[in-house]
Amino acid sequence: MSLSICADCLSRLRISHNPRSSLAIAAVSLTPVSSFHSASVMAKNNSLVKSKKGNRAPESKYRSSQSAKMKKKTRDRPKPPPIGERRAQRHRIVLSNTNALEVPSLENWSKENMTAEENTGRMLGLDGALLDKLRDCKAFKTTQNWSLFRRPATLIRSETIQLGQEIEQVNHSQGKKTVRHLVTGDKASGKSILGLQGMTMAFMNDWLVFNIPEAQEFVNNTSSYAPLKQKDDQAQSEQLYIQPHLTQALLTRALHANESLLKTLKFNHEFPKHLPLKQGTATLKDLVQLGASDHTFAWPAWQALWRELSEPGANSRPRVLIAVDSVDHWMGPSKYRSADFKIIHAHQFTLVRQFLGLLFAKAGSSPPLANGGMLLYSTTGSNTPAFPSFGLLLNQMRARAQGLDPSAPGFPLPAPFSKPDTHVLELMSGLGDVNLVELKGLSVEESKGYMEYFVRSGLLQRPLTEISLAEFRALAGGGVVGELAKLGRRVTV
Amino acid sequence: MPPRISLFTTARSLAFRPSPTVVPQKRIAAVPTPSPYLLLPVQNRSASDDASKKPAAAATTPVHPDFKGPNMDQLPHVSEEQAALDKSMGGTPPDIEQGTPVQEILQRDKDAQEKAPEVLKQSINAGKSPANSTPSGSRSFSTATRRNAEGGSAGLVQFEDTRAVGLEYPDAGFGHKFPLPDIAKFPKTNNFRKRYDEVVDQVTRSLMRHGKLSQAQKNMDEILDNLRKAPAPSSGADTLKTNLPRDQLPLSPVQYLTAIIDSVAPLVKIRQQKGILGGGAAMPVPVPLQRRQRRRAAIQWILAGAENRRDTKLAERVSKELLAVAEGRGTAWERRSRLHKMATSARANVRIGLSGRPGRGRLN
Amino acid sequence: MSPPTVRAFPSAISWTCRQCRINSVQLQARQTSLRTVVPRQNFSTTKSPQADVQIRAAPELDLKDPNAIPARIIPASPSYFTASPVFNDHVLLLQSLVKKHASLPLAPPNQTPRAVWLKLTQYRSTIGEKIAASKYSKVLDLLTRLNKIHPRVRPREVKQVLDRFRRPGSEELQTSKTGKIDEYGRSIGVGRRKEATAKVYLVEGTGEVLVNGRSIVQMFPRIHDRESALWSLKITERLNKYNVFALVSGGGVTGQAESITLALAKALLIHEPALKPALRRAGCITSDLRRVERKKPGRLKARKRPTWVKR
Repeated sequence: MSLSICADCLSRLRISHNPRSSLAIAAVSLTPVSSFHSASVMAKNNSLVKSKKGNRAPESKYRSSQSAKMKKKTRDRPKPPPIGERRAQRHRIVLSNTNALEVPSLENWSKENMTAEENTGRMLGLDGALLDKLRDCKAFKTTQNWSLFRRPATLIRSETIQLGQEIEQVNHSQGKKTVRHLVTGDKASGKSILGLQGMTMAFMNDWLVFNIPEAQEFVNNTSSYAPLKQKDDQAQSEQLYIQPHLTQALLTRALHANESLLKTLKFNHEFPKHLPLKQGTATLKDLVQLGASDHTFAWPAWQALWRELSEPGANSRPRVLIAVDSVDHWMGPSKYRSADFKIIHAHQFTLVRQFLGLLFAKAGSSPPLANGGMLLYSTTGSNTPAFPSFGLLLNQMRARAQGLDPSAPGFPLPAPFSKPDTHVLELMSGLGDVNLVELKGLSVEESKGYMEYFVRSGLLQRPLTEISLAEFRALAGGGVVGELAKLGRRVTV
Repeated sequence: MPPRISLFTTARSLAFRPSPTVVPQKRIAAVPTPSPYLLLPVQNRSASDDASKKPAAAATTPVHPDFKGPNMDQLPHVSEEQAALDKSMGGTPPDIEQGTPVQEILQRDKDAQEKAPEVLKQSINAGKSPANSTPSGSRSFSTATRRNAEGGSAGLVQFEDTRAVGLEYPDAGFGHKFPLPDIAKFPKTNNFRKRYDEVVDQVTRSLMRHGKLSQAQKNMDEILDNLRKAPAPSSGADTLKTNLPRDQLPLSPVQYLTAIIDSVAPLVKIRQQKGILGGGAAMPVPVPLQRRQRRRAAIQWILAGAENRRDTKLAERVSKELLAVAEGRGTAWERRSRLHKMATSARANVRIGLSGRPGRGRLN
Repeated sequence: MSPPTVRAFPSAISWTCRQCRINSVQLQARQTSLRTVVPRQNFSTTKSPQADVQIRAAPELDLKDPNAIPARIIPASPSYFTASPVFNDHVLLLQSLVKKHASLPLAPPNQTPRAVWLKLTQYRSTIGEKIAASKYSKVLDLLTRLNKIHPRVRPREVKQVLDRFRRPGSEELQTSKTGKIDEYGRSIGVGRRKEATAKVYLVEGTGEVLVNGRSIVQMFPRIHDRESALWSLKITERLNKYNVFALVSGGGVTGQAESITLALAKALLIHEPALKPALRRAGCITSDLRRVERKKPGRLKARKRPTWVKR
């Protein structure tokens, strides 16, 4: 049996406990300074001679493995798209389709006709500046069919008009009125669109808009988080966590959507010293921009911003709309784990806690917004997590809406021997001011206006009669708007 | 027994004429410009661009009049043709920057007006009427908001202690309460099992894998939507055989799909007849195909071409391939011309019997 | 009432063929000698005395009328030498009837009287011949064709023949239970498809649909399924005229949706029987009897066989 390395080399090998050093020695010792193997040197010389004679490729004298001779098939794959491109494609919002017919009678939705009741059941177009703002605050979603029509337009339904009237009331009220809404309803019943319409109307009235398009992002363990340093008096309470990148994203959305408004706002209070801002000349825009540019500054910037917005001061503050979509993800344990591998509850995240605290504000506490505004939170119908405590919360709100007293015998209470989520139960004390908006199917007039828009855009190529409208409504489960949209884009012939 | 269809009369029975088979490769060489559809995502603002890095000047809106929509930038558009014509004739060219709405084209083209779908006709008529803002009475549906409120409860049933009260049946007859549907006018698609268009159904079934029909239907819906959103096929490619105006194709995606599939569908297939030539060689005999068979061949080619694309979604792959075929590109055209060439060269092998029908080669 | 025999009928069938009749005129002279031969030879060795008594002289031949003279002894039925003479007689009889009355007007499909014919086994036992099922189906086709003749102009002979083929006791079978609209204005229909069973309560209303107490959108997320469930109301344009309350159980989504189709169509027919042709055309009242094929022993699934290894 022959050795695969020469004995000389082997003799120079030293046994070592450190595998790295032994390898290094082996590598050094096996370099071609070997003493008596001359074959490679000869071959090298040969090839040099041959190559001088002719241009033929040198034939190797020694045997090499078969696979080395065979040329490996290299499939030239096209370059994969840059990182993030595919995801961006997935989330891309297309707002127009030039193939669709232009609807000549389409009016624009503006501040003037915001609450005009004769617009109920009509489609109204969204125009330029608003579109950019809505796009920047991520109000559009890919599941909504914006890409089918010539230009974006939304259906004005009775709930929209009601929302508009409330916005006007807040505008006209001198006090710090805050309207709180929780929008629920079946899948595809128009909850997110109602949120979008709320944001549109807020932009029309120069409100400050904060939008959280997907509440699930806060709990599904896809973003950075860090424990919050707590002061001594809070030490007994549970540990809170901040989410720098999500805060940064929130600030980014707020910055681009409200840039012109933020520019005009001056500071009322002193901000923390460590923020690199000029005291005196800085506006709130600089503060938000700081948070949006660097995630390490995001949380302190948000805190400073929130202090400016919630605490009254010398300069007046604009009214604020906070819109959160699919809020039921916040009503249970999250996917995050703490340092000792315990599951973190969604309410232990500072932003979640703050936003939920705004909606379910305890009675008697000071109004959360300096100059009033609206909170428009909506649940999700398609991706609903199973959190029974939140279901109970909703049932209690329904019972309250029907005028049932919390002490009445029929009032929904947690089932005996069940373990309701204590975090969610804590919210129950603040149910008083929250208004539950339950979205149902569209009325006949609304669905007529909606389907007519499909017909006029050339997508639905069949005449809209009373009978066909009834058919659409019945197939859409009594005029559920998302289902109507599916039927409108459906091609049969 | 010889097949019943004559090879020579097959072409006559079709709704369109077969295109000359040599065309596609030449056209590709002549028009080296990439498809406008491929240019689609390339815009000022890439989809993955960070919103924060957005230049301040780019405050464009998609509906701004100067804005170029994702599919407005196609090359030989009708309005561009018109522009070129007007330039040479010394007239005022139309605004090329903006996509021409179909209505405008229709107003110019009387012939297309007649063939236009009902909705388009209505919109044209509405545009012609002087009172543009108020809805005209000619529409087949009412748009008044509160119609039911005045006329009592038309169509609503009132209940009194679980019993419907005050029902009236003005159209009742023997054995029915409401007007009877006219069975003689029932379209084929009124049958519960045949509710979809023939071509759409065939494509859906071809897309189906592992018996998952609902998944295939979902994909089919997406494909039709993509056809609806994509730009109309360029007028340079006259490969598409349809009697609809080219600009209207995207708005009626089923007809678009049918036109694409029927245009690339081969007329014949080549059967390799064994045991005639001897020596183990098979004799190619062109055999005419039925309509459904022809479509199947075209669908299989298109799906095979779609498999070579690198998009992640099946619907994307298939719809891009369909659009390529509509533009006259795509491997399906090459396969079709190759097959037709082979069939032409093997046409001597078709044995015509005394009855004038093609027989089965030289067997008897 | 004794069951009438077929042999009593063949009035329509001439007992000499046409060719023979023509020949007989031409060969009259030659045949006279043949005809004088005694028609019946008795070969038995023992002669019964009764036979002797019964032997009578043949009636005198009328040579003027060629039809009266048989050329040779011919059995009463032309199918005598076939394997199943009675059956063939029936077929010939029915075919001649169909041919004869082909020009009579037909009743529209909804007015055709319902008829239940003899089962194959019953038919076999009445005629005493072994008949293949496929052969009998030919008879059934002819009977159905005859049954389509408008009842007002139906000839008597047709009626008699049809009556002979009717299944005994079929009068009760013919009156299928017709549903009724109950005191609340509901009609009830039951339908099945695959493993699913649906029961539909249909009332006049405004187009509300509930399936198992839930909205139809929640029950059937696919539009296709919703459309199938409401197909009969959709094509008859009655979606805003009725309210549907359906109870479904068993099976999967498609099965449940299509069982509602059938149940709803049946319930609708109780309200408006005149819709039957439309619903038939729409394929809503045809119950789909297909079920999952059973798994067989020795196979992996219903048809799939285990991989075959030679050794």
